[in-house]
Amino acid sequence: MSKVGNRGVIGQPIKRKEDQRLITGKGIFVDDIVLPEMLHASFVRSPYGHAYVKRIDASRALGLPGVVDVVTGEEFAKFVRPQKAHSGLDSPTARALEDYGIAVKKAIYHGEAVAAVVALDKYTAKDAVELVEVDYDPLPPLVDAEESMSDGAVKIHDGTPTNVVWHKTYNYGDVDKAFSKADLIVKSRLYFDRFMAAPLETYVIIASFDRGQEVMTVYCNSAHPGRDVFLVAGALNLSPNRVRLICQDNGGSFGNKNNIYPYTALIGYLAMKTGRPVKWVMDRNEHLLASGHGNEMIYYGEIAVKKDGTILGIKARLIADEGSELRSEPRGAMVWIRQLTTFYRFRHLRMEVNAVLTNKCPTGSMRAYGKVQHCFLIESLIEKAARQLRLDPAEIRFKNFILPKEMPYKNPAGNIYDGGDYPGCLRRTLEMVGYEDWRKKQQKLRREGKCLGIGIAMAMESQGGNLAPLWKKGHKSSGSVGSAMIRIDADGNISASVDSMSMGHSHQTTTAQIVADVLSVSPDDVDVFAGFDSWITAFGERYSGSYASRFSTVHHGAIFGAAKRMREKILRHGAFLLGSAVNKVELVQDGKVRVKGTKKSAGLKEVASNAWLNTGVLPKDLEAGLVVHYVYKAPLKPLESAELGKGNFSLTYAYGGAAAVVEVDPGTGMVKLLKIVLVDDPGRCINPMVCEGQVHGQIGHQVGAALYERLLYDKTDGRLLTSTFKDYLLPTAADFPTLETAIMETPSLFSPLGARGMAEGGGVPQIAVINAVRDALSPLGIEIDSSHIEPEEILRRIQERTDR
Amino acid sequence: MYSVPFDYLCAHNIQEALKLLSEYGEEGRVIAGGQSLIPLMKLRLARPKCLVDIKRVPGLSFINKENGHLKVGALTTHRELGVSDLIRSDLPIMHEAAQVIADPQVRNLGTLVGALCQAEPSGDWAPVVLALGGRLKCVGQKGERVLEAKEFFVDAYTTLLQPGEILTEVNLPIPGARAGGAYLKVQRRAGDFAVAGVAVQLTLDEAGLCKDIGIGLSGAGLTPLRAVAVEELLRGRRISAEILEEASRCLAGSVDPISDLRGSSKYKTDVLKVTLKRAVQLAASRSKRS
Repeated sequence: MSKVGNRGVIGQPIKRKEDQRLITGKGIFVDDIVLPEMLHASFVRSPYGHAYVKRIDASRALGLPGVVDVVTGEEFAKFVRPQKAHSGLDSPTARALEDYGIAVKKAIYHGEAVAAVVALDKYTAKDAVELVEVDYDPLPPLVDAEESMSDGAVKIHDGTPTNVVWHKTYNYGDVDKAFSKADLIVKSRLYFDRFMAAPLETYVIIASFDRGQEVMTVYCNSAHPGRDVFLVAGALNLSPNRVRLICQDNGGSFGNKNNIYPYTALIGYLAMKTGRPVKWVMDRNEHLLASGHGNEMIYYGEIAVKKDGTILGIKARLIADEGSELRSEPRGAMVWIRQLTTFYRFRHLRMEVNAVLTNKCPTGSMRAYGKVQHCFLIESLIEKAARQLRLDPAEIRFKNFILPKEMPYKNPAGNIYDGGDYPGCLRRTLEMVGYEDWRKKQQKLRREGKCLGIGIAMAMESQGGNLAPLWKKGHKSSGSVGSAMIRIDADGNISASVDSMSMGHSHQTTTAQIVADVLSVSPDDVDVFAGFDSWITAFGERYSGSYASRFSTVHHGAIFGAAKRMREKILRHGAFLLGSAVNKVELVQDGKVRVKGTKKSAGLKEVASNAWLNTGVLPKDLEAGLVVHYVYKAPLKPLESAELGKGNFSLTYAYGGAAAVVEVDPGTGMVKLLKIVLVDDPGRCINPMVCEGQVHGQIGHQVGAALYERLLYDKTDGRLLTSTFKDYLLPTAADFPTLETAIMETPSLFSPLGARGMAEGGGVPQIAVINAVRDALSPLGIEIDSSHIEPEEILRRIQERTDR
Repeated sequence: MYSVPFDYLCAHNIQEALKLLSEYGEEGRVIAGGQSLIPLMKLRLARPKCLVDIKRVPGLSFINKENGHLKVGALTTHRELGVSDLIRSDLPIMHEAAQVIADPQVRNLGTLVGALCQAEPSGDWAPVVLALGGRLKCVGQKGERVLEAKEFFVDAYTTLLQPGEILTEVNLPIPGARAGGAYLKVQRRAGDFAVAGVAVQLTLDEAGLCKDIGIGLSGAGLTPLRAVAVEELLRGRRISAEILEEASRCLAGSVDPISDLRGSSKYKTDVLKVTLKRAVQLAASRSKRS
């Protein structure tokens, strides 16, 4: 890694630039924006999981004073083109899908929009929704993916041959041979439960169409605005440069806000039709029903091991429940390819992938998207094998780890791990939790009839990804691009922007730290644009956005690259001003240019002023002004073939270890989390305080997934039963012990600053908590095969064992 | 989530409140803290035509000690009860319950009386008031009446309170010597609705036998319940593992929890059984210390 700057501000826990503004209520979120003549939209939604829409009668709604229009799915379908975010997926069903973001003839999940009401205010719009009369012809819902993939199942999308959108088997090494050498083969049917990210702020969109210029301006809280520009333009038949997307403050995404785009097109159409700006604020109930859910998966997994715990191979049949439409999918079902064998040395693996449609909310991006599921598969099989071999779960992992000296390590798919110390991470985790002490305590408590469990887990993530074959068929490289702009005005004020938005990520702070480091100024001297504006800020085409933990790879690359170019520019202008050669000057404190070895210097303001205002005197080959726009592309080799599953799919492979201690109440089945520790390796920390905050969020979300949060559908009518916060249980701070986290820094060998994307962490706390529950119940011979566990289920299992 | 349109009227004295309520009959609802009613309205599950706000009615917020009783007013919040020294010393079971109700924001606004009128079957206050044998003062335009807590909860989210009536005061007897109380709540997350809640207030005699006992249950059926049969079983008996086992079997026969996402009826019954044993034991051990 190159040595940068002399300020040393990278790695400092400086306070967040964002805090003052956001904590004192001065943030500007989309709902804070009010445009002249603005109308308000609200959606009529299907109460059924699967039903034909026979008739929509809007006359009563239109009669309510203040109602401007009611637009049905059928009308939308006449003017809005269906969206295909899943381009590149080639199957007869995938090709036939037409996703309008609203039901046209058939509603295919509970809560799907069937019509939109536009009114003068939001209250009237909501009242009018109740007055829209919709006749439905209900069909049996398919909420079970295995049922949905069976031959006789009703087709969720009329005219498609099957509900299976994708089927393919991936083979690495020689799995059958590996299994033939096994001392023990352990099998599990594992279920990864459906849950979601529930940010404070739901989806909010304002669309405003300038009929003169034919420009659609959208204020929204998308997490992937670059892509949305193209999707919305395509849907509304506009050229992408005439769609301006502006995203400023964002009340949290965790992947969820990548799934907003179908609605953006619908609200855009309403603005075009009414000729007035239209605002839509999704309510919480709608958000739980119809934003984007996390990936639900069923695995039939098998692991082959030797007696000493050596893992020989894994095979699994994966059934990915995609919900009713393919939005970001099938990426969630596929990202396991990046981290095939995770931390372990085994080389033989077979995965049979089945991506299946069901009558549920479409799935899409969510923290540890697709990766936590794969880690759950591997870690669960290892855990079960260890129990059967009577090995300590830590011991079996140590036995199989790839070692630091083997880095960079090429896994069987061709992914190249960018460094890391996996055994070191687990050792640190065990030390932090006090593993040996807890094991002793556990023995004692077990004799007293108490169910204490200690769970450990490791999980891997990948950032700066290349899933080219899923973006565009035939391409071997795409995705790993970031863009940044830096401008210094004539007064020496530094402004920077990057094509991502902070949704609690602290991008303003960390961007300023990197720029400050390179330009030898203070982070306080760097103003960073809060958000993204496809017309104004750095634009990185369809990649722009904050998703897949890409900031620490591609955006760092962009900011760092832009700052280095700006540094060159300052030096050249400085040298000219000082009458010196460029190689004779240096950048010193406060961005001052100094002739090396002398006291002769020019301040940044002086240099900038000369560069902008005294342009007439500048030599021909010296560009006036101080502006840099830099597009970074990750140094990823194109894939070895245009086929998914062969090659290196990510620039960095972040990882973490977690340990959890739980006590299960054998009388009630309740699980109490006594302790949780997490060690994360972000490679290089730009700001430790920011890293720690992100790890806290990760713990909250993933412990929630293990013990509290689940999206449960009724099998008979297809209704989402957990559609309010009364039943979708979000844990709060009061449910957690003190979070104990540590950052270990093993620099990435490939990323621009040695950093890896963090904050997702592969969902490691969830797996650690489940492993802890497994450990607590293991003396009773109870196996837990799901990623979420309800107290009732635990009690039932305990009773089954003790009643015998 | 927005409610249907409604009128909002603010009363400045109790007569005015009663008059406004009588004008709207069944379509009118009293609002004090609003911590149950407002969420239900936002979900459009409650659709009152009119809310009569009594927060500005003077003299409704108090915790008074009179003749061996504590009296709590209609506007007294969960938090005020939770931090009250009188409650802590004289009705420790209420102090205990106040700590597990919802979250601090709700405790700052919600009221004991509002919770009782809501008659949430998985709430915390009703079982405690039932175990204590509380009495409820209801005021209407025709006068006032005093109801026993045990007869107050008649059906799902339904009480004996008539349209146009306001529950103004809860009257709770202060337990005497050798008394002990406990409220144990099994919940999915901090401050959640109870999967099962058991409130026990008992008095042991000098020989250590159970002289008197009140047991209130949450999550046991359509309404908050008083476990009369279990009380009868335990009265006059020594609290032992055997009798608690018998009591839990007796309890199982007298409850009918609603199956919902917090558990099936069977699960909740199992949890009530084990929680009953724990709560009685805890109350008995506290009584020995008092």
